[in-house]
Amino acid sequence: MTDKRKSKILRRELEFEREALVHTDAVYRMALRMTKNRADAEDLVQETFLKAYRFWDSFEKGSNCRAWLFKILTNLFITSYHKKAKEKQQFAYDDVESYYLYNQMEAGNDKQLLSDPEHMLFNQLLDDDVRKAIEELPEDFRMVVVLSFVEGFSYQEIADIVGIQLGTVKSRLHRGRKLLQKSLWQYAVRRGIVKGKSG
Amino acid sequence: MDCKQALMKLYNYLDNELSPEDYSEVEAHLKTCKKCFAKAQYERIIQEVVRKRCQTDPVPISLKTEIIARIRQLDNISQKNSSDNNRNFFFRP
Repeated sequence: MTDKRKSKILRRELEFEREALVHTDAVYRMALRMTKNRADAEDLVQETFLKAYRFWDSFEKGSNCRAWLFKILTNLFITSYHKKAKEKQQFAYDDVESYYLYNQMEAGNDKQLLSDPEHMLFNQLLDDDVRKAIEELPEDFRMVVVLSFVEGFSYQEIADIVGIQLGTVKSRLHRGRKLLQKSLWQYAVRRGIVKGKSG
Repeated sequence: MDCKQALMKLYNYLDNELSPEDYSEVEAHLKTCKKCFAKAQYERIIQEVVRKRCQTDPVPISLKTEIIARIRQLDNISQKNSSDNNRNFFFRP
């Protein structure tokens, strides 16, 4: 192999490290939310970056590398991991009202909770409660909620990443929000932070 | 804009997905309506809580190193194949 080729490969590796591997933490956390376990998340992240590296020449330099990596990750998850985690539960998300948490607080008429929800409710929940509430969401909803809430992608970016219509992003996000709020409320009840039915 | 209209647009407002005109209208409503403002605050806090709590998972220190190692391995294989091809080319009978 020539020195020229060697230095070309080295340059490619360095470029990939600088542009793509800086997103390792974000990609890992998304993988963890989706697979729900560390071993699968690590495998998924490795597969994502290896695939990204193989197709690095087709990545349009200067465009959004993070979004491109998330697209690879979600595709891999849908094709390889999705089947593993067959979710058979039915979610009655349409029974859950919008602004669920606020409405529960209002119904409970707890003035402190209503006026300072951040300290009186959310700060009392454990990191694990919040993460579990996310992980309990059905896969399709979880994906868009994490991409929006955690990663801050726009609706259009999410549509491109997941490969769905803009309207589907909106409806999944809306339903995901409702279910998430119900779940957070249930954790708050279980922890004794608020009074109410946890079922 | 009344409460019903504002609440219909609230999620898009919070996600910065409204036109500037709609955005201003929702914002104007939130300034005058305590209840809708409180709902918006709740939604903002929930988003923030989820964002923060989902960013505290420790990332395995070795993960990046392992990815780099696998990439190098991939490159070595392709280098090897390429030099084999060259050799085949030069030593073709």
